[in-house]
Amino acid sequence: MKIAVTSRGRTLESPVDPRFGRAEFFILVDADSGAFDVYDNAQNLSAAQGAGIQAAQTVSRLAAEVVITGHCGPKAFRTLGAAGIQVVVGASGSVAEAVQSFKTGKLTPTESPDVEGHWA
Amino acid sequence: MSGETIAYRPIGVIHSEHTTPEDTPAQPVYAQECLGRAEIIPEYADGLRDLEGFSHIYLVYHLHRAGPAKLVTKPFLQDVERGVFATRAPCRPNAIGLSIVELVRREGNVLHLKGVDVLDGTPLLDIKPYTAKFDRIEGTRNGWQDEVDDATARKRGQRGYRPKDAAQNPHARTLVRGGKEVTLTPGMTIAIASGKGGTGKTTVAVNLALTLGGPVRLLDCDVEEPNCHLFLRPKIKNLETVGVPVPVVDALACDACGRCAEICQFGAIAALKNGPLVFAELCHGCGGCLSVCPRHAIREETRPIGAITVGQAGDVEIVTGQLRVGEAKSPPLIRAVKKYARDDRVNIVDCPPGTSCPVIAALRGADFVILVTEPTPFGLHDLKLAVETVRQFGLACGVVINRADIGDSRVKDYCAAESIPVLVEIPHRREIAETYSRGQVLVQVLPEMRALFADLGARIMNWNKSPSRVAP
Ligand code: SF4
Ligand code: SF4
Repeated sequence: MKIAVTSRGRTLESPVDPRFGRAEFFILVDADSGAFDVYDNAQNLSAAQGAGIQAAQTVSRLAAEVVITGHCGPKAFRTLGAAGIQVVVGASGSVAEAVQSFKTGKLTPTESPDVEGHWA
Repeated sequence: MSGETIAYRPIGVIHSEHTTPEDTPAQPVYAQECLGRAEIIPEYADGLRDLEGFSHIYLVYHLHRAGPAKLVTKPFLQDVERGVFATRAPCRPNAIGLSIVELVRREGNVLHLKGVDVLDGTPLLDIKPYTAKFDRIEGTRNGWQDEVDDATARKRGQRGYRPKDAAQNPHARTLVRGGKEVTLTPGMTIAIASGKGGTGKTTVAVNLALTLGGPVRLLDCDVEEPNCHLFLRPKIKNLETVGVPVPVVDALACDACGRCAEICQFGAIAALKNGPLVFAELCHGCGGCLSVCPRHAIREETRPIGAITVGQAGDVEIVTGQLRVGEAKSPPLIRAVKKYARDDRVNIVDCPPGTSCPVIAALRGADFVILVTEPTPFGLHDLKLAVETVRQFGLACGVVINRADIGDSRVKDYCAAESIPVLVEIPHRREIAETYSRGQVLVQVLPEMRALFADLGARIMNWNKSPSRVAP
């Protein structure tokens, strides 16, 4: 299973980026092997609007099945839902810790967006 | 010779306030107050020397948004088909445009122009000076154009654009209001705006409409919270639902190629593995996705965004736009309300508060803007923003100070410094607040208010004659 985690840096030790659409990086972690890839989201950082939708398309292309982030707005949530991707919000600490929390069931997928638009 | 292609390179670009072809006046005479500029490519700048000696110049340009050529076409001014070379319609074999405009001043390679009937972004091919010595011909025959009377020509020639200088109107009529003579100019549009809500914008709109009475149409474009009808309690005559087109994807026909998402300039379509996802609230209805879909899997449906009611309250007609709850985009509804403006009435537009897109949609094309404010630091701050917006569109404006005695003189000082006329001041009085809170109309209860609003009406109708006329 592939998990996309929003990250402030390029390593598993980097802190989780609380923003989804304007996250600095996506770290794609293979939950089984622990291997990971880094995707730069820089071009999305400056998007005036629709950053959440764009980011959702990106992680859909990366074939992620789960997204772990801090907050997720309604449009991104809808897009991720349509792509069949589960969304986990409220993550903090490092990317590795967030993945661990998800694997042990401390963090679970959310049923609804947790912020209004423009935040994520 | 025949069949040979001649290639020209633009010498610059024309900028104007006209961004849609439908709202662009057809001729400079219908665009007298429209400002614009021509930016000449620096390598040609030397060629502009001595041009400022001429008050008017010819612009020769490429009609870049013209449709395919039609040899027989209906001109803007008439519903009769004419040979294209007997018209100035844009759909010509060589889409060349020609305008005589006023050269206001030159700043290096930028020419500041007036009377610009040209679409923003038009490529400029050539400039020539206009000279009355050679170019003015008296006693001409004007073909089919002699059949079009001036009023029709003016109205149709302006197209979506309304003149800022509406005084020379043959249908003007003088009424006595609040003991004052007020000459109404039908076709004139007065917009009432304020930098924020709660300043008394609706009060001014309702009271001005009732004071002028008779030939007035009140267009409530504050579509998120239309309030005018609460005071006027109109009898509803007509209801229209307003919708915007949105693309709908046929999942069976779609092969998830993602081209629709790629073309959309507004990020309204997300391309996912299993097909596109449309965000109706972001869609601008441009039709781009429809035209690129190789599988014709997209069709357009109408999504309702609000409703318009037309009602009658005494002799004032009121048109109210009401946006659907939760709908984010109001400009299409505001534009639909404004289509109810009539050329045989004075149209009063109650704008949404603020200075963002909806306000601009409501303000566009107004002949005069009344900015309602309060004499407080906040009021002044919002007024400055509103003035900036109004000036950006080259509209004339004046200020109404509400609750004039609660604050200081800074709003007045600012208006004086910026030469913006203070039209009237509404005092802060108990009776006024009470009348308002009972849902009653000031001019129907307080005679001195009737005089005040008659004065306001007279000042606006005469604004273009007064020496304090505001430069855009
Ligand atoms: S109609 Fe235009 S704005 Fe709307 S989704 Fe299609 S391309 Fe985007
Ligand atoms: S362009 Fe047409 S076929 Fe391609 S994804 Fe969009 S709707 Fe489907």
